[in-house]
Amino acid sequence: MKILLEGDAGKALCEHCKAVVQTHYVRRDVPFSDGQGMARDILVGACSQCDTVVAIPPQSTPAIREARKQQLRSIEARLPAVYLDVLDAAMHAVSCEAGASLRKLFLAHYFQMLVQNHQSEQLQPAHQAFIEALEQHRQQRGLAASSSTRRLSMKVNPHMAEDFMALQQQTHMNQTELLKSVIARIQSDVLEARDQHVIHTLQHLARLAM
Amino acid sequence: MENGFRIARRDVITALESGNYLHVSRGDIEVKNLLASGAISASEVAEIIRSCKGSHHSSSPHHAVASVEVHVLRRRGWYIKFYVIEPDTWFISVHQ
Repeated sequence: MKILLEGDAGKALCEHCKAVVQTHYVRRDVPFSDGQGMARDILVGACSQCDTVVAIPPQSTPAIREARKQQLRSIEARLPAVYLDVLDAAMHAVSCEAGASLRKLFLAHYFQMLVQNHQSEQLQPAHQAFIEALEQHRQQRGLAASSSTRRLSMKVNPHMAEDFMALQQQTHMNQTELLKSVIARIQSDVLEARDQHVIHTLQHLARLAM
Repeated sequence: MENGFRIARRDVITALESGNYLHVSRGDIEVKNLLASGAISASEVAEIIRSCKGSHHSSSPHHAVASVEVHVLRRRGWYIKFYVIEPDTWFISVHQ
C-alpha cells in the first residue's frame, strides 16, 4: 500500500466539477453520508478546483472505523410511547421479573439475530403490519391519534453497536425507524405468534442478566 | 463485455491485493462503502470478486464523466461498484 502524505498530489473524478481533476491530500473532518457523526482529521484528497473532498485512501479506514464505532456506542431515540409500552409488555410476557433495565439485552439479542440470520429485509414488512394493526385498533375504538413519546437511551458495547450499524446499512433506516421496526418484530414474535423458541431464548438471557 | 469484465476483475483484484486503491467521496464518507469504513476487509472483497463470472457483471458510463466506465458486480448478496482511472481503482460502493 502506498502511504500518502499531506501535500501529495493525485487525480480523481470530481462530480461537482464533472471532470477528472487534480487533487491534493489534506487532513479534514469528513461527515458520514447518513448524517450520523464524522471522522475527524483524516487524510483525504480534495479537488484542486472546487476543494470538495473527492478521495479517501485506505490508510484512513482505521480512523473511519473507529469514528463510526464511537458514534454508535450511544443509541438514543424518542419513540411514540406505544413502542416502549409494547417492548416492556413483551419483556414482561417473557419474564414477569424483567424490568426496563433489560430492554438493552432484548434489543441486543434481536440485533444480533437479525444480522446473523440475514433477516433485516423482514423488518420493514413487520413494522408496516404493526402500524396498520395499531391504526385499525385506534379507528375501531374511535380514539384520536396520540402524539405521546418516550425516550429510549442506551449505552451499548461495540458488538451491539456493530450489529446496529450493520442493520442500518442493510435496511437504510435511520436510528429511530430501525428501533421501531425491531420492536415491532419483537411484538410479532413474542406477543402475537408466541414463538416458543424465541421466548425460551429470551427467558434464558433474562435469567442470566438478572 | 466478457473481455471488459475479465480486465476489470483482474485490475480490481490486483488493486485490492496491493492496497493501491482509493474510495470515492462526494464530500462525505459513503456509509454504503463498507470497505472504506472497515466493516469488510480488502481480502474478503477480493474473494467475493474472484468468485464472479461475467453474468455477475454489468457496466455503464459514469453519469458525470462518460469516458469513465463504472463496473458493478453482484454476487452472494454483495453489491460492489467501482471504476478505474489509471493507475488507480476507485470504490464507490461495497455493501449487502
